[in-house]
Amino acid sequence: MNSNELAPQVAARLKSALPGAISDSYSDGRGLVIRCEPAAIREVLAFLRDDRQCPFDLLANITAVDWSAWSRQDEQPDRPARFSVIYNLYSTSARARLFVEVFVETAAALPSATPVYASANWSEREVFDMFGLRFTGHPDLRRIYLSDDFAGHPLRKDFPRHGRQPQDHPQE
Amino acid sequence: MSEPVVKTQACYPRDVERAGELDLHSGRMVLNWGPSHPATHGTLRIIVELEGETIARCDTEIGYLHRGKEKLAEEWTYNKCVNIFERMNYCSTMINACAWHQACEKLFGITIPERAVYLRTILSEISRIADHMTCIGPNCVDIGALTPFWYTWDIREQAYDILEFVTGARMMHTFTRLGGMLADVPEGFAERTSRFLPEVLRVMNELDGLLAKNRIFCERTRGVGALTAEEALSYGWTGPCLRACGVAHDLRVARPYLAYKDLDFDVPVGEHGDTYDRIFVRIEECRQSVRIIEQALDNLPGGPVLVDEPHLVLPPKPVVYEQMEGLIHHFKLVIDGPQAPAGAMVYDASEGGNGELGFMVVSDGSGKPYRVAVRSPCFYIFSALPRLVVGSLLPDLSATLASLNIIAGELDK
Repeated sequence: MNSNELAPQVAARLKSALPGAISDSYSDGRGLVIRCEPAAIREVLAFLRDDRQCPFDLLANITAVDWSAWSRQDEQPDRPARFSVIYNLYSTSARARLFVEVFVETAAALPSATPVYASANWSEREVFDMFGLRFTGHPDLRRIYLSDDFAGHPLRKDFPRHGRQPQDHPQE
Repeated sequence: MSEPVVKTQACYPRDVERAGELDLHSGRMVLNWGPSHPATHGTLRIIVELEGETIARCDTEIGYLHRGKEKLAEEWTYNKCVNIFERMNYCSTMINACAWHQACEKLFGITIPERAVYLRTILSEISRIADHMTCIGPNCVDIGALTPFWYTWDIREQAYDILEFVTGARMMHTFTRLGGMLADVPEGFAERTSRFLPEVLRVMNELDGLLAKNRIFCERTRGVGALTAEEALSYGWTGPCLRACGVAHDLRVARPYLAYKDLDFDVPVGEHGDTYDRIFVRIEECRQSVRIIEQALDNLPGGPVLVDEPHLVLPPKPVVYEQMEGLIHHFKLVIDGPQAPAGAMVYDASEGGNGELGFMVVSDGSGKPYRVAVRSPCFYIFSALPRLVVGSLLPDLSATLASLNIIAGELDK
């Protein structure tokens, strides 16, 4: 059985195991994508990690997209909130890839995936730093690239691409 | 996960004046390492709390080389973006460039000519050898062995010489284009590369002889900075570091791209996931890269190196200079860039020098990406550093850090 068949089967098992957590599943240029309810994300990831036939043992990364500047009226898929947070999962034994996508608003806080995957720790810090999205239950939600006194979250679409920000660094 | 060392401020010189206020007799000492230090091999900062010479706590700080590449990419055309993404892992530039354009080609739905596929494979593998040499040599220096460094650096320079011969630039080649390569390789490329490959094998054997049973080397690296396969996967490790833990995961085999499905090579794995295994997995990978290059050179197909799609690639210069349409075409492609299909969203991953190098690209139909998300392997490998070094001796930190091959350009994006 090849990986193209395994991933949809996991999605089907997930749907029956956690009814209500999955709102949609479809394929696009990335591969198989499962759209999930924000509150259930940790259970969904734990289920996928512990699946017997196709364990997604690697959380490759977590990233987000800010859809607020999307200008294409003709290409307007169903996007229920401003940000989508995308979890990129890979199974080293089944050689299958799967994306889990959740939609959240600016003020929402997602349950942290750090108890499930250690790699979520820095990934979530990066998403927090770049998009300002919060994760509840994260052990250490600090900025990761930028300094603590940096104002704003650069990968939001309303953050200017050019500009200077005076920073209050104490002089030696 | 160890809690952060909070008194980072105490590391600045101005606090030394207040040293009298600090408790110097508690038995613990905070040591700051970096962001600019010869043994960090890049701009990153490590703060350790020591009990004697044993590391009690460890925290890291990154972002000193953060250039906002993902934000920059949102205002650059697809071809122009290669300039920023090949500067991520600056030790294996060609792999980065190929990975970026491969993701773009998936977005545009282009199949590149066979000759370009093989050339990208060969140049990527030469780049991989240079990358691994850049890791092993300084790693040996960090634990006091200077001799292997000269052997590895010789190979690295020879690899760069070939890449310079092909592209005109030693490190930042910018040789790939959307739809193929800028140009074909110059005459004499195959002969020159064929002369280089036995040199690589010879030096790998020298390294084996210098290191494999060297007692000092073994004592400094065996069991140092070890991680189990389960933990490595949980931390998101990929590449040689994960394979050193015994997981035979290599995207070139697991999800073949370029010409790798036609070529015969092995995936070396380690056993203990320690510094020793990480170094020897890299040495063995160089031998496998030689096998890949040999086969690819033997089977190198002829033909063009760039797709024949006028709306994607620049017209030939005589057309630009002599025909109005050619000139307009040239300007449109340079200023607006090739237009990607609207609403497309792709993820494409390649096996970089350090592991899975992935690009998620979202297009809104313009000539510039709406969003590019980069998955860089170093980021996840470095996140496990406190887990690797807490409880070990301070000198083990430099041995471990160098064997992870943390490249700040890739770590900080």
